[in-house]
Amino acid sequence: MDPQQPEPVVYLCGDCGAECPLKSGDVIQCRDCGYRILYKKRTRRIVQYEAR
Amino acid sequence: MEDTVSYQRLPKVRIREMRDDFMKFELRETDASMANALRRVMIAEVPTVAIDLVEISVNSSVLNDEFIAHRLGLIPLTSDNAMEMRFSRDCDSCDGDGQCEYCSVEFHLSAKCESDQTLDVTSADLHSVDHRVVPVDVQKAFDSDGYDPNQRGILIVKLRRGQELKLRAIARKGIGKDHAKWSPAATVTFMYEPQIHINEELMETLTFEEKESLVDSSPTKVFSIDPDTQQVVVMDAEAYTYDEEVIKKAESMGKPGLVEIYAKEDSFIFTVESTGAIKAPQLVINAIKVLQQKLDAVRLQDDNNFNELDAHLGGS
Repeated sequence: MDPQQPEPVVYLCGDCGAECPLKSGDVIQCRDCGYRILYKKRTRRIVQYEAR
Repeated sequence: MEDTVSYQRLPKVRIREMRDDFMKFELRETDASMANALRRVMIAEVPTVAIDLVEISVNSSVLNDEFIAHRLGLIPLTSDNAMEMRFSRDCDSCDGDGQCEYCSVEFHLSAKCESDQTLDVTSADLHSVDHRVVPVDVQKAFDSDGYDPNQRGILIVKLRRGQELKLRAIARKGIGKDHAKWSPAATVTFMYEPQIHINEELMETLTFEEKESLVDSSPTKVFSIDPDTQQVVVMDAEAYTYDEEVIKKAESMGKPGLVEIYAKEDSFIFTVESTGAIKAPQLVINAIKVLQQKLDAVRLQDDNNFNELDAHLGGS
């Protein structure tokens, strides 16, 4: 990944559920409703676990 | 060396009951060390196949990934060919990667709930690439050749509308010593065969009521009274649990030595219950094979090791 152009990470608003892309340094706040609790999405990658 | 004493014995086995998931047999003319070795090997060292690696691509269920991976690991899989399979750690064709056909079996699971009704994801949703290795209950349903609404497989997770689970799982050969999920045995027990002696002479001095209370003193039904002769007889010696209640009862009645019970130290009664991964009779045979392999490893070892041991013990 290019460190010069950080890709925005998409979060979900804890109140209205809208998607909210954030970059580093952004205010942590939903663009639609102003709610300040955001949730990170699950990775799109495959994750590996030991079944123990 | 010629006149050394041989401790070799030839144990005998008599099978009493044999089903796919249960077996009862007698092991005679050997000692507790043999019996216990056999029991321990059956529980911890007979190999089976179980899911060991889970790659989850989508999981929007209420259970987290680790939880589901653990549940998948515990599902018993038919392991009839496990003895011939390789352990992934010493598999040459995949450098211990554990991804080739000699040491692993791949499973796929893909489920999504599209309706308002809760969707049960069970072991029946696990699709194996090798028809010899499938969840035990799926094989059972296949064998009985009919759909049983009460037998829907082992529940893994429940999904509500919109939730999805998609994963790939790798099953590998392993032994119960590494993780209990690989143990093919549900329970393995053995008991000494009890030998019960009734002192008939002393028994004759008892009234009928005393005989009755003696019979009733045993928590398990070991003795009974013959309705014709009114004598106390042994009904089921193996029901005795070595609780010594009858012996204490006889003493409290002032008749010590009325009943004497000894454990025959060279006879054992085994009960084996299988998880279904390996059929109970095959489990016993595999355990003997594993035990033999262990003894071979000792025999083939360099004799120098024993000389060293001799030097230690003999102090010469």
